[in-house]
Amino acid sequence: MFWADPNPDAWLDRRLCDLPVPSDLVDRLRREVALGDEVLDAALRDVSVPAGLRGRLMRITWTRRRFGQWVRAAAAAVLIIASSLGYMAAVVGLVATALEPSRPGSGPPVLEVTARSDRLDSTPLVNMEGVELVSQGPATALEVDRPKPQLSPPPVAARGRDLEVWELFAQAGLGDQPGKLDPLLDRYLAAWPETARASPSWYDLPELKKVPGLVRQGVQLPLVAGVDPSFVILYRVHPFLIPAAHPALCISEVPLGVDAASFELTARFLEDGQLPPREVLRTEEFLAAVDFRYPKPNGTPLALHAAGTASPFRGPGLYLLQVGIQAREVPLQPREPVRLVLAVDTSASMRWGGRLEMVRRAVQRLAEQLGPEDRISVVSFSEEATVRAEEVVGSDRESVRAALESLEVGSSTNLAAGLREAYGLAQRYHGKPPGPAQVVIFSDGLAQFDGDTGGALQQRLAEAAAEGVTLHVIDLVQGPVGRDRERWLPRLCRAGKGTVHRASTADQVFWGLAELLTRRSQLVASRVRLRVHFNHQTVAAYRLIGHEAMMFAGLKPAPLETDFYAGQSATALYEIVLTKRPGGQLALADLEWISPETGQRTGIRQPIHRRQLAKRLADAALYVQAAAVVAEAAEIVRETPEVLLVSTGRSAVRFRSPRWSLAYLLALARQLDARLEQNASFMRFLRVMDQALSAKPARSGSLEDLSSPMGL
Amino acid sequence: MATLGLSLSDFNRLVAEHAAALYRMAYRLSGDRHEAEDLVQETFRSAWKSRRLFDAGRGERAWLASILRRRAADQWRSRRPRLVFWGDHQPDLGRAAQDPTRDEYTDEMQEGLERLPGELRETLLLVVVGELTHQEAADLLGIPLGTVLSRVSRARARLREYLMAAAKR
Repeated sequence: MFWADPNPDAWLDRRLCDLPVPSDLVDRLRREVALGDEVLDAALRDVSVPAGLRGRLMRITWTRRRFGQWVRAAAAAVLIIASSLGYMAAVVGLVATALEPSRPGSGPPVLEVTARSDRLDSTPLVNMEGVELVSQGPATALEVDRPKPQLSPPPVAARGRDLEVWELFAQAGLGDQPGKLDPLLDRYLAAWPETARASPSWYDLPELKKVPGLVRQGVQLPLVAGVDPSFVILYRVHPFLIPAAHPALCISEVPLGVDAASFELTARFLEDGQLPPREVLRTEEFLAAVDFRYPKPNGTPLALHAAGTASPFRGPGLYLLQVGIQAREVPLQPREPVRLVLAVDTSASMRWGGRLEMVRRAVQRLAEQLGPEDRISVVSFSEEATVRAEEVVGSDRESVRAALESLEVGSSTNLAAGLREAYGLAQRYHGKPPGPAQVVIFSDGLAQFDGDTGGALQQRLAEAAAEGVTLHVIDLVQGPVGRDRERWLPRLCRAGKGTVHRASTADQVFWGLAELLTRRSQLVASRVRLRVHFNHQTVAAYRLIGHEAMMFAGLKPAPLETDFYAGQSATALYEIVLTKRPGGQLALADLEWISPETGQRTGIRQPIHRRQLAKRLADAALYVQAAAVVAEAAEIVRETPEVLLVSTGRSAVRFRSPRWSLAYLLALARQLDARLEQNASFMRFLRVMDQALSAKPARSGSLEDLSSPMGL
Repeated sequence: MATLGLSLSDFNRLVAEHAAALYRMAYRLSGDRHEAEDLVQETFRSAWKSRRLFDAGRGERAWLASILRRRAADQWRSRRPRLVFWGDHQPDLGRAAQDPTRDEYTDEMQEGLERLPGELRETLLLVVVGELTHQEAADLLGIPLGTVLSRVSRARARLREYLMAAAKR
């Protein structure tokens, strides 16, 4: 007590101060000071700015300023022309359909196409099982038609403009009783009644979007009754077509000259952890990215293969049918040893369109063909030139690979420096075996010189050519050819006694190099064209996968004929619904081409039978297993809906089932035939798709970036 | 007298001077570096489109920030769900499903910001990260100067409180 204390005031003071202090008070006060306004503000601003952001922002004005007005004016003009032509085509189609006479007893579409076949004197050259090779004389006689396919005429009730499709299905044996809807087809409606939706009218069309321009892509659907052209524009996939509904719908023609551009684009985007804009993705280009390893032709320039499987993705009743074409290989041996000096443009633009990667892949493939007597040098040039490999022995593939890996993208294109360095190497080893060098320039840049430099270069090239050193150009440009390019590159090549070879895929680059190596053309067949005639009695409906003509509603569809080079392949993939009518023949695949040696048109006709369809994916041919996975993965990444066939014969869509998400699909792909693991291109495809699993969605505006002159 | 209109050199200068601050603000607003890049790109694209309205006599940063604010609102409205790759029967592929850059970019500061009421967060970011003056922020938001001052102060206090609590965890 204070009265007992000799110093009561001191006691009171002690009691006043005797308060427990919170243990973390000091720390808290320190943090308060440490988290003052300035520190807090600095932490808020502490966000690293991505490299290159300013450059991208400054390009906004560059593209707008120079091209904005032109693009707007051109787009307006093209839209007006496109609308006019579209309306005209639609009107002509409707008028033609309306005027088409209903001929009693007239045959099915295929019969009409081949009505003059009895005048054809076709001589079978090869008769294998199910394969008939016919020669039809010179190409000028092409107007003469094909032999008559053995398909019987459609039922009487299935003709005329007032055709009811359900009746057609019933007559074709798909329904048990005429007039009753088929349970197979109704399953689709029953399963997803809330999402299945009939094809919309034109009024439901989305707002037109800005597109990069006219692109020759896809196939145009026939403008006949029963085909809704708005379906493709709205859903970016083809609808089912009913072969029995119209003659034009029995025949499907597929463009074969497809490259893997959008898959390579996807691979590059995914390296940065991002998906590309879905508008630029095309399923047929994903299919073209994989070598399905079709069996090689046996004595013919091209081989035709067809097989299928019950679709593992869409439930019962639907099948996948694959038609593959494989060109023969042209042997690269024997040949004379060569000295190659490869000068690779590594300017910034080589980054776009996967051009540098194309060169790498093609040269690596070429290196596999080189022997110990060959010599190869690699020079890169952007603002200045660098020797990456000098006089490497052809069999030393590791050195070539290392040289290619060391190529890095720089800034500008200094073609003169590249030529100087390459010709310096050629001169250094001149006179030694295996002989004078062939200099090959890989470039996409404009050869821009002033008159004096260009003239001096031409003179040097001509002098070197006189000593046997030739100049060849692999031109990697993927767009319109500018005037400067037209003027300078041919001049340089003429002076260097060489050739210009345009290439937009790794295969084309390789074929250019192979021609230099062997001095033989790699062309196997020209103007190759594939037609698939569906049998309306056995195929109730079919749908081409990929090849959608999205740009201006197919105003400029892809060319149907293409040239085939050594080892080239092409794939067409369909979804088909079969009728219950007995009969094994589903379709006839017709492949025609002109032989480069004789100039004569030749062809293969191959029936496709029901027995060629496996009951499940694991039992199907290897190439069917791979193609099924590739096509489905492409459709998932493109975010396209599944297409369903409903009882009315129309197509409907539903959102892709999450069950068949990409992760699930990739897991399934790895459970397929183990031999697929030996297919390097397929395994690469799976690896790229693996990256898509954790990728971010496409950035808004990136489509516009791609369409700019600086983009693809 | 101030001149109207934005020349190319003006635009490039704006990019050089303001892109970084706008990116930081966009990131703090969205919490996602890709969205932030898109936002800044859209902001400058809109700025170039409406270059005739540019008034060199007025605050450049405030003009750009007002565009950014509108674009952020547009993006928020039009945001669609991300592509779903994982289905009902998700197989175990031994792969992390989350964003690998999450740890790097989603820090405590961002979490603290997300807990602030929208008006406090926006005002704080305009003033601190966008480096607008209090008066510019008041004009942009259409509120009195005093409100801006009090919002910034309250936002800082709440953010500080959150960060200190987080530090104790």
